[in-house]
Amino acid sequence: MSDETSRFDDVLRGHHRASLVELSPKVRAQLAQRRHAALRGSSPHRSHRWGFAAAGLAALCALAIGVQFRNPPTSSPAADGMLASTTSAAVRADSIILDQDPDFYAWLASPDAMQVAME
Amino acid sequence: MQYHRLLLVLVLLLAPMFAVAQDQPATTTPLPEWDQLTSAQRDELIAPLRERWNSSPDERTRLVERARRWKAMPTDTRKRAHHGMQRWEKMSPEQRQQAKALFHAMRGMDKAEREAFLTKWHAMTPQQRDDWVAAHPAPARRRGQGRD
Repeated sequence: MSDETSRFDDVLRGHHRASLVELSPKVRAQLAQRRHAALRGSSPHRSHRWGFAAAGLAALCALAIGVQFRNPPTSSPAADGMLASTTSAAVRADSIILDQDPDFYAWLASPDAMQVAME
Repeated sequence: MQYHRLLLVLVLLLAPMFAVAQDQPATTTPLPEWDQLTSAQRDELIAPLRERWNSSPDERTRLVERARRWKAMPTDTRKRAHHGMQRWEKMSPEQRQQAKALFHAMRGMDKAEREAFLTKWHAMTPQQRDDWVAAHPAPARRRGQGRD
């Protein structure tokens, strides 16, 4: 197995694990019930159908992951949105971080300064 | 009927994937390292500082000095300074005035003097503390030294 294939498998497994973590207990219980019900009433004909369904689902997941890989994170709307909020935080931090002597800020969090609670 | 059941299971299986995709911008998608940002994104991040730099020529020396001091600070001191900065951010103008007066008064003291001063400070009433701050203000800031 090539490194690329192995990496792809790892990423795929990672996404699968992440998706499982996101499932609510209610959904998990529903899935378990439906899986048991399906297994109880399964026939060879149904097994084929489930096989096709599983293959289709796997293809769908692979497609979704592939699309994610093709979109660089730096240019996605999500990253831009995060950058916008980061920028507003940077504006706020800039207005404070260089306003005062850094040693004064360090003193404010010192044990001496904590003893003279000003707030 | 079979088709509907299959569809329902597929929807249930795919739903968390969409939920994950929607949550990612806020929780799991990290922004890249600086070198991987586009020049437009870098400009956006630097813009506030550029504006301040250009609009305050007489503040530039002070900005450079403070930036150098931040960079030169040991990691633990820098971390403490960040906590102090957060404390400063939450203070009222009166509390800031008091903090600066105390800093300037105590920075030249040795350990014994600081302990004696703190004992005296704790014994003061709020009015006495206000009077002390009025009598021992922090040195007036020269033009261009920054903002409160």
